[in-house]
Amino acid sequence: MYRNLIILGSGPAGWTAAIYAARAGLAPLLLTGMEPGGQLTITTDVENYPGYADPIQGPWLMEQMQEQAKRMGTEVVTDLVTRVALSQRPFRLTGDSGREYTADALIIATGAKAKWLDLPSEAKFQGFGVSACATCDGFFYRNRTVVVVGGGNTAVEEALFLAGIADKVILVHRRDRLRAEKVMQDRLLAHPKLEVIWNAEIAEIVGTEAPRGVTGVVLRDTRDGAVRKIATDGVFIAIGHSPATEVFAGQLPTNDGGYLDTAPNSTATAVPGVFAAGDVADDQFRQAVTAAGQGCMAALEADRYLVSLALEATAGNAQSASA
Amino acid sequence: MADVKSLDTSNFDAFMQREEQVKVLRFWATWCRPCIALEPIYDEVAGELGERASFAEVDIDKAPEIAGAFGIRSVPTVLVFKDGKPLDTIIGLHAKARYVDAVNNAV
Repeated sequence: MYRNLIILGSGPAGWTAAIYAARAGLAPLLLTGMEPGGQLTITTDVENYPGYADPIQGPWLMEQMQEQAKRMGTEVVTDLVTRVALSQRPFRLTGDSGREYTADALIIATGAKAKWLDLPSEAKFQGFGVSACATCDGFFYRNRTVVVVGGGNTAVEEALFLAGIADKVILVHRRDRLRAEKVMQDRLLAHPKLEVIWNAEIAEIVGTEAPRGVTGVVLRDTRDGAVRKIATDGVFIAIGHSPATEVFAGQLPTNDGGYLDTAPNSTATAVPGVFAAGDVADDQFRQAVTAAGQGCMAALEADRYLVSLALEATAGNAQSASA
Repeated sequence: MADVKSLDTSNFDAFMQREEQVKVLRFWATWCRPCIALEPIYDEVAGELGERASFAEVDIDKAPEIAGAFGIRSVPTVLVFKDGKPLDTIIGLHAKARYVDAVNNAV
């Protein structure tokens, strides 16, 4: 399947790139990736996306962006790209479905995935008390005690969501203050079911073997290293995200954090014709609205690139015709 | 395309007693977005491997007893059974190949 422009990813960056590219007449193809809609589909209220006076739901916002992109003429395919060849023209992509795609220009908006603590006990209890998705697994903790690990907006949002279900929510953060927005912090600190344990990290997750399940966590004080155990039925990990770039390894340069490198004030990567937008390339802001803005930039830059390719081809043809 | 059977307490035992050696169960919920994202992938796998295994799904809101019996504490979870014994547990949303491999390993 050949297209002028293929967009990888279906978060705010991908859909906005699709809207702009479709309106520019590029008839883009968008491959959704594994989780159509991206990170926003597992959030609850979105209060900071401009244009909505009342809180909106993350999944609803993504559906709206998708409908808008489709209405403008974006073709949408549910597939996950598992292999790319960026050294050849057109670029060649292979999907999890087995389908092959080729394109002259590519916009990478594959976003970021939840980070884990990388403890052996965390892997052992994943799905048995350890989770990275409160909206998926909160259901199982009605009237129970849960621990949320992290100090950013996601951690606070998950803690507040879980407080609506669980009996008690303990937020464990390795510093003495939160990174989350002030309004979120105020809600957290005022909530009767929420307790914060400062300056602590998870040393180990403990539980039973049969049936497999979490019963507690061992906390290590980040100041003096003292350890203590607290009881909990679940542990929700919300320590941030890492960019989804594995498939481009060795073909596109990244920075130390693994984010795709882009030119200053641009979405252009080191490979001409390949652009990157949103959380896959942004280690600074990582907001829905900044991702959307970068998606717009990527589409405009891809359009310019495709025009220059067409002009080169025309010039080449004219030269060979006159030779 | 092979049929993915919806199970609740009324038909679960009958499904598990069917004679096919390999059975695959998807535990899901309507409010779980990764579950919704898994649905077309699961249907595709069932379509391709439906001759060699039987596929079913359990809505945990409608049949919390079944989810409880298998110790499900996360959705989506896919369980692969061979001869009635759980052989593989796939927690979360994965690429299609993960599910295809799990079923192929069992048959």
